[in-house]
Amino acid sequence: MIYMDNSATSHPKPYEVRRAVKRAYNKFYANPGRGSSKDAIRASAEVYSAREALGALVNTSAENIVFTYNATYALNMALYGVIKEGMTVAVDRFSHNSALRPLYALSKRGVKLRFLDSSIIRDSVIIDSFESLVRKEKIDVLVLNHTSNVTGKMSPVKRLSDICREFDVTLILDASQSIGSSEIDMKKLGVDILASSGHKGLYGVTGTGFLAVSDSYPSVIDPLISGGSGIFSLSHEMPNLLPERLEAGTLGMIGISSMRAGAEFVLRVGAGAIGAWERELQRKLVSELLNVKGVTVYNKDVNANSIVLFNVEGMSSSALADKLDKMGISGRAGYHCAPLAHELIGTNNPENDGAMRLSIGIFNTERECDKLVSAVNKISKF
Amino acid sequence: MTKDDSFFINLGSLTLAHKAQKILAENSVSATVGKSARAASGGCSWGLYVKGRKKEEVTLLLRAYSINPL
Repeated sequence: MIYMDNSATSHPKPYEVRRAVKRAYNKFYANPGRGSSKDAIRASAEVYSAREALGALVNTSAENIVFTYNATYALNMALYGVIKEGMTVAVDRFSHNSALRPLYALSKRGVKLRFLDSSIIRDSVIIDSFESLVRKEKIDVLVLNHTSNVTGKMSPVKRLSDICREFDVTLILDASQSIGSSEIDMKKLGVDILASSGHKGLYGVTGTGFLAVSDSYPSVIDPLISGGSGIFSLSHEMPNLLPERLEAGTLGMIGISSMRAGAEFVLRVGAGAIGAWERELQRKLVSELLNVKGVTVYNKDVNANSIVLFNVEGMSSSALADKLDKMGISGRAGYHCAPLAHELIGTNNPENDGAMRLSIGIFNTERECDKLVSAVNKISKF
Repeated sequence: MTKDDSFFINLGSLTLAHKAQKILAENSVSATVGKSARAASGGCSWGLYVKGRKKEEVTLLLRAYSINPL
């Protein structure tokens, strides 16, 4: 089997992660953050170590790492916790439904949405669009996708965050597709709040994610859900302290341990080195697929991270995915929960019904790429 | 170390208690993460049990790292 659906979830996981899962099951069985027995403190010390590892990865304090069940949960937490009625929010068109749908829901509660112009190639389009917008009206929040899950293109975060600082805009970054394969320094990038999955570039198990709040973010985020936090139990409200303010209920111990091991793997290997390997294979695939008759590669001119987005003439993306699956290749067809991105690319038509996405991971090989190209060659001839 | 002959530094959050424990360890102060439940302070609260040091000394050390006991 050739697995190239790492943008959905990574596979295989590094040995360290598999070992951490077993260790967590055997060693961290007590509820972290409720009782104060030795067993419970051992589990909570592991949770703290995971916060430290993730904090080191994105450059924020350990206590500003909030565990969630996935990036969608983290984004909902950030959006509902920060955006209030009457605010105006700018959003980029490469955003995933995990950001778009909560924003559409918020727009029904008196929040104004402004969609930024974007290009799949040129950064200047979104920068100019945002700059002109903030000069026209007060923008409270910018919701930005760091790396598109459709094209693999990265947003010019620093350029946009400079504008955010000048015009007092809170920057919420979705780093689900960039974490683990791009260096992310919240301080240097000027990111206020970062949301990410834990099971993609962090190699944790599915059902993991986190929210990271910058050390310099001045406001209090309202909790998305309320409940037991293990502290100040007599109070009717969630505590003001992070991370407990946002973490109601028992944490997922095994998932958190897996994320810790994954983050430490990334810190050891280096996000830059991982990204470089994935890009090398991505370029090899793009250049070879362009030689296959009837293949259109949509992100061939994009300085993309790990993703190849293509279709084969005369068949829908779903039909192509089925054929590849039968040949032992896993990828993902369709609209990838990013309707506006497909609108920009022009793949939201009845002929293609989206596009076929192959997303490369650190464990993919050149040989696998050769087999993939050979499989597409066969498919295109029928 | 038993909890009986040590003093408790109330930090509120368990996360902060683990952070403070690491900082103290780096400064050769041994501390144990623990919990105190007092109605007057709103219920359960996390902190550190410290022995063999003066409370003021440990509090000052933590403040130097921007950790303010409650």
